[in-house]
Amino acid sequence: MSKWIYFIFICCFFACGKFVHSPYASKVSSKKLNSKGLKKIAAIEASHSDNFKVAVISDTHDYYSDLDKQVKYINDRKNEIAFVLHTGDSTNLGLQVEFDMFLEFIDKLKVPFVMVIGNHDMLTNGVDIYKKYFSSKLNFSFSFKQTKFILFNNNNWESTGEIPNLNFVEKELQASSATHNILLAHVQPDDDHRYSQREIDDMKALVDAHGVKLFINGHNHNYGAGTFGSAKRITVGSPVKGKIVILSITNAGITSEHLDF
Amino acid sequence: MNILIFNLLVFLFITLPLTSHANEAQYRFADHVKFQYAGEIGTIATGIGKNFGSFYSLDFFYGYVPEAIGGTEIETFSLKNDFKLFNSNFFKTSQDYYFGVNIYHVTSLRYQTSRGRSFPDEYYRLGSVRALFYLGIDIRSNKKYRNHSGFFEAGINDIVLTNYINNSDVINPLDYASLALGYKFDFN
Repeated sequence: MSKWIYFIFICCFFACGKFVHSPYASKVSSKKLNSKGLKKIAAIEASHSDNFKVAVISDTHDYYSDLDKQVKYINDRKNEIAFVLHTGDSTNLGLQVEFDMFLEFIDKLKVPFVMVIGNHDMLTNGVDIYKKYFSSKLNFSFSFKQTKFILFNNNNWESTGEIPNLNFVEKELQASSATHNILLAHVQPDDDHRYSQREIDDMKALVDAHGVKLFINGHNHNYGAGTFGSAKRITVGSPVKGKIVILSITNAGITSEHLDF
Repeated sequence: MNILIFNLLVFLFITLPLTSHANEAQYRFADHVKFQYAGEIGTIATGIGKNFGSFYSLDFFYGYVPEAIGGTEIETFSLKNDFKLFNSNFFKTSQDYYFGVNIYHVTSLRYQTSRGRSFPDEYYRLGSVRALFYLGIDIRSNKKYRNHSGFFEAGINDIVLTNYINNSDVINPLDYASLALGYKFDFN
């Protein structure tokens, strides 16, 4: 009897499994999910009024049960929520299997989705996988109605070169004719472990000079709201807290809600 | 590829003398040699092992993934622990059924980021050591070529197992099972 049970088990494994050379491999097929998400966002713009809602999620790591609930919450409100922004950390180790598990749930979303890279997503060979799965650009922007969203990599410890790339942010802000500019990055911009006071002040000066309305970040798993320079700041928090951030954007301004899902 | 050739030569240089003295089985360092395809430790992995009684065997493997397949060159060193469950005979072959855990280390990827590493020490946990839990079948002929056998293994690693335990309502671990095929040569 035990042999049969064993045999059934191994047949199930064989039917479902794959020959994995190494979980650390980074050769993955290209998905370009951010490009696809941005195209979908552009395609739905005409069907939305100037009053629209955006769902923001973050730091989903291995909290798949909670991510699944967030996806269901968003899908139940697909007529209200225009699109979803993720402020990074979809994995713990930046491994392909983790990105694949994350996408198992994100693929169920019925509204467009884009994600900025988080520090954990950059571990191991995560940057290479992120570039294939999401976007070859770690800094990018898009406009929707009266609002410009500028998403950028500010994971300075895990990157080389000048991170965050303030030149990119400044150029995007200078080129913007939007009523509202929203900055979105993974790490909180006033993290004094990661950034020197001069770097924090430089970012703050940029925010103030261009009248940025909102800075959204993740990294810290607890929700938080405050200010950064003249901008309002929101730390999204992880889904394990059972909450989701919904932005309501109108010509008059931006309001945010921290709701149960 | 040069790394692979170099390490294989070192591996064989160290291990082959230990497998000599065929008439002194009780003193022999290794009882068998294995070659494995996939199973998370490399596109190709080679290892030597020793049986401890009829229940347990321990193998030491070196595995390699070329850049063309892995996106980057990957080398692993692993310790495979096989625990025999039972044996059966079928169509002139003998099958050993076993379960095991393979603890492997990926060299030069000690939780480093691929683009930079200026984070403080201990900021991230060690990420280069993984464990793969598997079931296996080793099949050999009952008559000819008794020293030769083929094995098949299927398992899940510690990440998948942990994620399943924490998210059992939404994660199916079988979707992330990894398979391995191999060849074993017994010195006896």
